[in-house]
Amino acid sequence: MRTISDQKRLDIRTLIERYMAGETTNEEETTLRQWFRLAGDAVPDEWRPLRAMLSFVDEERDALDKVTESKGNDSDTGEHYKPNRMTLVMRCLHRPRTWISSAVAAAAVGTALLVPRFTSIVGSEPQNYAVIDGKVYTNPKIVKEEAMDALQTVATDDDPFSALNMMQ
Amino acid sequence: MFIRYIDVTVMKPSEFNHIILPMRDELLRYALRLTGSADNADELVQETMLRLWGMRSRLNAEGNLAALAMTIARNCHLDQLRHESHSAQMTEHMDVAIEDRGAELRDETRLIRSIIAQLPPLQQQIFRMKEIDGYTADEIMQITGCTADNLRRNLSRARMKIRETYMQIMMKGEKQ
Repeated sequence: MRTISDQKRLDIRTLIERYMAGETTNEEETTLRQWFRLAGDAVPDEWRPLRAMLSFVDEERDALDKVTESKGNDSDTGEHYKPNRMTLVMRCLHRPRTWISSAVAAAAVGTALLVPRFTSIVGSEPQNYAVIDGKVYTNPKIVKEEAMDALQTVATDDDPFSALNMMQ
Repeated sequence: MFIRYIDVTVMKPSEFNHIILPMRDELLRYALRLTGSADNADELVQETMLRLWGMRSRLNAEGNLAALAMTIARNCHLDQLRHESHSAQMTEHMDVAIEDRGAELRDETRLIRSIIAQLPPLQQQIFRMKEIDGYTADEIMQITGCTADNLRRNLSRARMKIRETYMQIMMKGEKQ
């Protein structure tokens, strides 16, 4: 079994105190996690709660890494850990389809209106796109025209509920 | 015809901060009315900002973000009230759960996960962002609009609480 030298113990104790006070940087926290991982069972009893906490963090980070790798890394931005939380909007999308039929026309208009707005938030690069009948379009003008055509199709029908049939 | 809108925007904390910063004061006043305490109001605003950050890819800067933020703040406040009444019985509930599943006493990470789930929502989210998602303190401050001191305090509280609860549960397990 490895033993911890007095100097090393002092260094780690100082780091632990700063960690518990919320004062450590991400790099220092990585150092702490690595140290506990390598130390294994050779840690004083008083540090075992921290070892459990950091072991949990290691597991969660590994799990998140796997998810990120399977979805493709965001290496361009250099941001490794992007949470994959389900947003409120995504939760709404998982609810029953009761709202879908009434939202078809509104979604078409919203699509046309949102495209230029989002580009104005994040910069001039065209990052958003719409998929129309399986094809990708980045031109807001085309998207808007297609959306208006879709609305026109719905508007000229005598039966106000016929849009439901189009979804089947 | 089927049209599907896809947003692939990756918003950075600084960009998010630029959008939400102008409404922070108004939100803080609203939070103060809800909570009646400056400290609690500040934490409520931070939690609201974190929830907005969670849905950042769908935010529209020209939409009524202030109204959305206030709705989220109100819901967070209701969640906090529910959490407070629930966490008053936290240790007892957790002990019972551990006693029922003696084998899990040795499963440290599962125990830690259970303890974290009992932390106040803001502490849970900040702990997760800093420890697991790998955000820096600066990024979290930009997202929540909180001060460095405030962030340190919340992180410290979360870590202390996890350590204390873990020790209490383990000591109780050893006595049995």
